[in-house]
Amino acid sequence: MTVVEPSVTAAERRLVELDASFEDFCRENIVAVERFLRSQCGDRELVQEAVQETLITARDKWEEISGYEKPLAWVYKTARYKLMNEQARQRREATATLDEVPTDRLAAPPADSREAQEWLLRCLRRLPERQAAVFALAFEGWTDPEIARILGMADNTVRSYKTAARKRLKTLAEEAGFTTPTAGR
Amino acid sequence: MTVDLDDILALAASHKPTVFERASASRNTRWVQQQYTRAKADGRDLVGDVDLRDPLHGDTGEIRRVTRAAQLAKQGTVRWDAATGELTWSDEMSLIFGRAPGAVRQTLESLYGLTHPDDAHRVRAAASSAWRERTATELTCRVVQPAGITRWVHCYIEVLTGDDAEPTGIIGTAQDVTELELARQERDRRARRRAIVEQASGSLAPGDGLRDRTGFSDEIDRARRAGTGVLVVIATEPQGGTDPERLSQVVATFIMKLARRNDICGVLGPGEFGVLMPDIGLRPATSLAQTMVEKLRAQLFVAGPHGLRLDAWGGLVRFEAHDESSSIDLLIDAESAWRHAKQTGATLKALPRPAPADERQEAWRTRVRAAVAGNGFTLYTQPILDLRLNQITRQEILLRTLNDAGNPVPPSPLLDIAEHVDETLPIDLWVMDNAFELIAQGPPTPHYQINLSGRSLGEPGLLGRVQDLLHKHDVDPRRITFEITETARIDNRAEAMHFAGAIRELGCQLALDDFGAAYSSFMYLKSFPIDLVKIDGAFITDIVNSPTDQALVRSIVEACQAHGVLTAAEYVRDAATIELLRGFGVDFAQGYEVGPPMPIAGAPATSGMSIEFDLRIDSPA
Repeated sequence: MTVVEPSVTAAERRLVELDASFEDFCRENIVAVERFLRSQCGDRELVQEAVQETLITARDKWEEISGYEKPLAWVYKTARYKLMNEQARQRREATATLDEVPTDRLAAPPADSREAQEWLLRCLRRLPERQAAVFALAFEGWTDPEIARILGMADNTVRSYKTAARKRLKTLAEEAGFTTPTAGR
Repeated sequence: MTVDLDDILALAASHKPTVFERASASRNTRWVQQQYTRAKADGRDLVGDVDLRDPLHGDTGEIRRVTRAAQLAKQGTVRWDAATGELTWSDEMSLIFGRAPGAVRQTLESLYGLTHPDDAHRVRAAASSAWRERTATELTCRVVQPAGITRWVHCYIEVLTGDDAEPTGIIGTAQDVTELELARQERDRRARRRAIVEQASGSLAPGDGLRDRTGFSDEIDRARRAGTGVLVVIATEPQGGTDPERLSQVVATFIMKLARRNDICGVLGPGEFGVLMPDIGLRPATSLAQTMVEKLRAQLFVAGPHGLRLDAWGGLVRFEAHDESSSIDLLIDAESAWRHAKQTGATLKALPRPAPADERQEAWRTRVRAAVAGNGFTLYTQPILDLRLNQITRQEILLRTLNDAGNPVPPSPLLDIAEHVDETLPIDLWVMDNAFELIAQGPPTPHYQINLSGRSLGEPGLLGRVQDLLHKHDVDPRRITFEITETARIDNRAEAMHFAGAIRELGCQLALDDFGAAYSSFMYLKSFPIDLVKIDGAFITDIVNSPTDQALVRSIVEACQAHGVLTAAEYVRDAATIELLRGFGVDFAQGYEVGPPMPIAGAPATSGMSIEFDLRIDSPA
């Protein structure tokens, strides 16, 4: 009996490449995509669902999307609409919970970078949703035109929201009144 | 030192994925791959209505961008072009207005016409300020669909910019958020309601703490419904001393320590304490009560500068579930029992069951009449401030019962009983007789307010007696307002109405006491010829700190003003309350801030007789 080496076709090679590049992209960015949605929505399950759905579609069209200048921009945009539509569906079915939103209060200032990120997310969720999205993207270093295109906004709106969000966050930080006993930063 | 926003942002930006986060990212990536493979095998459509275009590439301008975004989010758009002044909206927007696309001509006027009239000005203001300031803004407003159906809509208003960086128009994105808005309102309402309920139940918390007479009566009723038990009433003498309140507290605390853990304790009146013992037999209860009284007698109490020894007696009555007797019946029986013990030289008297109703009624009627005949009362006055003049223009005449030692004490326990056994008229007439005499002799204060029980109001002979007394003391009827208490107990409505009409013919005025509490209702404003409403003190004591009390008092005042009825507030304890009430349009204020109740010079005072009367009338005939 002879063993026949499977001949690797160009198409199969391309598939393996796509799989590998998608996996790299996904591993690299999945946390950031979730964080972006969490700046607008406190329901983690809903966020994870929207992110997974988006990435499955991204995988399906990865050949095309991977060729974009910044595939992550497409993922952010699409994940956000998935989330918004899912939220709207929940509202229509009146499954939105009536429980009161607990007031997120942090007694002590964030001790490490992770706590600082969580504090920022909690504060962003207290902002109007679009302002939070603008600030979250700007914080990650996206330019104003990029933000306008990802979120589907007028250029003037991005500038206006950036200012408004920063102002509100400043107030929230002041209200929290964090002080540390150590002198110097 | 202070940590500011920039510190936190810098810290957040410095974040590098942790080992845990990297592991989780790998895990989720594998999950996505698995789900993708499975969906592919199932032949699922993985794209659906997802927009596959690269957002960063091939952008064809703001208008298309925003419109496209609205479509993806299933939202409507409205656009206003500054150059042409034209207004257009999308089909999705027509559906938000509840109209078929194209059914309404698209103009600025029709847009505002579709907006709820109360919100149109807000929408207009938001749009013009966005245009003027070149900012983006958002607001929630209502639209009115055909047949008047109202929906809530959230709108984003954005300013469009041309190539030359000049603003060219406004684009609005809108979404029906009715469900969300209703949920938000309901959430707010529940939060508000919960705060109020928690506050209320906090003040009624079972288990610990002392009850006053009313609270204790409620507990008796609760215990009666639940099953059997024993009610103990303990009386102590002497009462008062230099600090009667303090002594009362000290004794009550002492009794609470002797009681079992589930027993409920209360202060029933001056020197009178109640212990409610649920689920206990007559014998163990008697022995417990006996111990209490003996220990009370043995104890040296310190309240004020000197130590004090008390004499004490106990009376108790056992009750069973569904007994006919009410809480006040049981209180009367236990009170009769301790009086019996006292007069026979015993420590305690125990009743194995409540007394028969007619016996109880007769005994207490006799007691009330005897108290009246023996001048077992005295009168106090309390000033009432006219908030318009900022001047005392009225006095309320207050009744005090004289206790066995001849000291004046609040009359509520006796009045409760008098109401209960239908024997208020003799007391009310005693008050009138003595008050009119003092009014005739005293300084010409313009006006006096005298309490009159709702029970007496239905007595057919009342009007004639009042007329006689006014005449006897030569008092101008226009100087008198009768305050009707316990309106719940006005049972002879026709007679009461007749009296009310006739007494006002004479020139007297009528007031309703404790308005807003118990059974007093707004119906009285409509159907009863009253001149003044006294707002129940429960709404006044903490009104400065309570937005809810403020709302209630404001609405009472508004309703009274509309009906031509004056308002007075009781329990006014500070200047801030007075200012607040004046602002609300309340006409009169009464309470410690205005002045405490004071004995009237020349009022009937101590009479040793009342002690003898007590002893004599209580002896079983």
